[in-house]
Amino acid sequence: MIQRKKGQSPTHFVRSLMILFWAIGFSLTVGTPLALAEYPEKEITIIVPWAAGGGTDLIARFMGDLMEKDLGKPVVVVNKPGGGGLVGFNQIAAAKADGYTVGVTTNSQILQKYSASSFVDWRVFAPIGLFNYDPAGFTVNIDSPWKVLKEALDFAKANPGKMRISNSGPGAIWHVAAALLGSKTGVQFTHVPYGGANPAAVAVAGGHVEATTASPAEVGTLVRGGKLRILAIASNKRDALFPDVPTFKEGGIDFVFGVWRCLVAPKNTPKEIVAKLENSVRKVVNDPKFRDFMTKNGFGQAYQPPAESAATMAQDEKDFEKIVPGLGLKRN
Amino acid sequence: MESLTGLFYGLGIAFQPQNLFFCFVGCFVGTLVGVLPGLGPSGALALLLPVTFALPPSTAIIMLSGIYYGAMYGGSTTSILINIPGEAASVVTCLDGYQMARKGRAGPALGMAAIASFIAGTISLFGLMFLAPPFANFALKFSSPKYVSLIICGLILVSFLGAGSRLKAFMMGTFGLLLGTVGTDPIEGMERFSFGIPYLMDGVGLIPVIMGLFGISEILSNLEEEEFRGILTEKIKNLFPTLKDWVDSAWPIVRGTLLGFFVGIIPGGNTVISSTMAYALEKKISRHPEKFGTGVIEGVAAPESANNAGPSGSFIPLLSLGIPTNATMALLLASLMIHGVSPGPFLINQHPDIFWSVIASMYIGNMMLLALNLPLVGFWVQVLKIPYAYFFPIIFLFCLLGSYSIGTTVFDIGVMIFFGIVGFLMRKYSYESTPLILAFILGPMFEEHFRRSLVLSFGSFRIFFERPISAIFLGLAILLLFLSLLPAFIRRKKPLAKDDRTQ
Amino acid sequence: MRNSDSRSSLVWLLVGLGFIAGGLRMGIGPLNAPGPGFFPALIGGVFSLLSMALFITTFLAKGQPSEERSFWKEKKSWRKVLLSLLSLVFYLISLDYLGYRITTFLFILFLLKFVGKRRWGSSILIALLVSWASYAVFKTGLGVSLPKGLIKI
Repeated sequence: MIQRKKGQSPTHFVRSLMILFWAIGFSLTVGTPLALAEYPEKEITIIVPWAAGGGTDLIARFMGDLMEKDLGKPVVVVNKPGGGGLVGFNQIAAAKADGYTVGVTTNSQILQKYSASSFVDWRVFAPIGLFNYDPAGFTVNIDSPWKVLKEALDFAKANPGKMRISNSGPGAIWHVAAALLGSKTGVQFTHVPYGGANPAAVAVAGGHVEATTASPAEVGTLVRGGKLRILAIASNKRDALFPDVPTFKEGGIDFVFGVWRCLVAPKNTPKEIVAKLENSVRKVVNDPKFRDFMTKNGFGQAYQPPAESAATMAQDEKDFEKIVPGLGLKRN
Repeated sequence: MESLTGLFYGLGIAFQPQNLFFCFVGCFVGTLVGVLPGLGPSGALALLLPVTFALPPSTAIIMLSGIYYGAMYGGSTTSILINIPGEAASVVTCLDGYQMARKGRAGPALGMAAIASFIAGTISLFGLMFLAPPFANFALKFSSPKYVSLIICGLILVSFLGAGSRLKAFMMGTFGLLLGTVGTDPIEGMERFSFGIPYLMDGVGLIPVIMGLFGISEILSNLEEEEFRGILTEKIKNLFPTLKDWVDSAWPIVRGTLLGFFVGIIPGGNTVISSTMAYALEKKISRHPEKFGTGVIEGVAAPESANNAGPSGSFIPLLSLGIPTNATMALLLASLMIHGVSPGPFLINQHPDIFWSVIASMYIGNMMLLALNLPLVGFWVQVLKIPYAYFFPIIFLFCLLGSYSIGTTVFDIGVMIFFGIVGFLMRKYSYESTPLILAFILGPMFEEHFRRSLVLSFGSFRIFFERPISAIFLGLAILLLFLSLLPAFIRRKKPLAKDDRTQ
Repeated sequence: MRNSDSRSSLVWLLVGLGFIAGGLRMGIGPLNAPGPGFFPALIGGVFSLLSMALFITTFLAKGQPSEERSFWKEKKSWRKVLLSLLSLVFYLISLDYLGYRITTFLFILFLLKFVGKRRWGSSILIALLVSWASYAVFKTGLGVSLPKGLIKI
């Protein structure tokens, strides 16, 4: 076909197609994964399974900053909230085990085996270091009529299901804490899920719910801002940062419960990389700047190296198996 | 007045060379971030946040705000030039901005976008300065049911945006919501519709969808024409907004600013909602609504004002209560706390240097951004003159890079190609993509609040009507819904006499 | 476009029903604690209703002249579209193996030469320039990780 216009001649088109197919075919037959290089070669991502601004998030960011100074490459925190941590746990587990993606987990992960519709087994992670422990609390709005814990619980007992307690996600630590408290005191709460402790605290401050069981450290900002009142703390002794807050034990309720946070990597991450990270975390945890930050914000300090962390997780699994299924939190 | 002395105090700090420098850095990076897709403000902030640890708190926040603002300014550039929104808030700007560019009026469009942003940013800063405390409480009390009503209102308005069939626009919005359910459920974290593909765990990526739906499909559509000369259908007319442009845009800017500011105060209330509402509002009250979508300046001025007034609004809950309203604010909050600054009602008293210097630097930042963006207008306009044969491969690459760089996975490129085809087909069958994208963005938030509202209300739907704000938005939404679906059922070709308004 | 509307509305209806089914399977939960399937099922229901409404409007408009247009704007339209799509697929497959610069070079070259019908000289030049320059800007300047490919280029 002779054409005087600038139209595509059939042979031109066919030629183009052939070239394309050749190129595609060539690419498909070649294939080798890229080689790894010396660690860390690029930035490291820490996945935080909760919304930004919450306890886990803040500590992770501060840690990340100190780790960056130690390792010499950027350490970036990425938030993947949802499902009470489930979303983030899954992301960490699914990440490439090359040491460039790690994450923070808490005992929520182990709780979820018994408290949520799905969970991520703690064994898919290689622990790097446990760095914090915080007790639960009972916090209400400053304008609420309850000045002591007993008043709040009395109300809840007299109005089953009417007291709404916000938490950081279904099946996660504060949800279970509230359910546990409920079962110990014979009270029925309604549990309202939020993306993290910070939104949960804000919900109480805004009057959308009546209380939250998040840790005093996580509600600290709003307490200092005069919006919230902490009625009790679930530890053995009073906290230095909140000296006026009685423990549950003082009120006659044997409720000691809390969260621990641990940095983890996907299971198959090379051991040398995990060791490097472990060293970095240990340095950070002992850094006076870190201690200072934790104390000022009311975060509990605790450190366990990988082996101990794994032991804690195993022990927790056994303990939770005894107390959590009875709470009936699983959706069937 | 106390606020003014504070402002001068802040200006004093803001003008220190170090702060000026980092303000500029922030603005520059922010503009880049806004212009380049795939690099959202959160991404850049996350990368730069560690740098800020080395800086004193006020400097750090100055830089971070610069980035945030810069991104808002830059996002509209690609929307106008190549019909690809640089970020979620600029989706609506594509509608008229791009059409203006095609008509040779890219200069006025870009110029007005920058200027409207500047005016809105500056006015809303006054709001931040003087109105912070009472509005902080407003933010606090915005519970989930109110969100639901607000978002429903926004979603329905979305179907008013385009020129075509309302019913089809509405369908695309609904489809966007459905698409948003792919991935993890926002409350329980259960995998939905991901068919075991790990890349879909996080849902379908927003950027690849935008790149495909807007970018790829546009090019494919243009390539159909053998002799497609370029996107310019008329000669380039002016480089700057004309007097008529100013007159037309004046009120849209004011209204857009107000809308954007108030919606910005709401935690999680994002600029997508405010820009959509601003556009829809202008279209509704305009004397020539049918011209929207063909390239009217109001269609650029209103949403751009809204999305630049938003950041000021969102600083209010952050600085007074420590409540971050979105991911960027959360990062700012983290940076504040890490520097030992506890946001709250006492922030102004305990750390006046931070509060006022931040506000002062926002003024400076706005001016810097205007100075950065206006001269670029001439450059951008020239870009449009490149012959299409050279132009389109670059755009393809732009889309590819944008999609790839998010998760550095080729899966996103595949998503982009898929939605490129979808978008291409949608154009053929006259379905609009804007409602789809907007609903897709809002979907997860909508669902989260909707489900939570039902938990808060113990299962009753009455909660949506109990509070005045919620009831108002819902009522508005229902009214709009009724108005919008009605024409689809009335025969459209029926000739209307000029004063035939008896219905 | 009436016929195509009626066809597409049926497709949409299937989509909507699919989401309803999926949602129900995931569990919609009690009303005071909605489950993961609640929202997809609900919105799927709305979507199905809308598609049925669309279908109905095609009937209501039956009396009017059909605005049937041919699918492609011009006779040979499909060629450029197909070539471009396939080149995108090529990019997708080759990026990790050939690395950014080579893949981009080939990609741009192909589009310029075979779709845009430019001359060999300018096409090669521009393709080289674009691939190397963009690599420099994005990788070095902005720190975006771009694949190096096997040959580490």
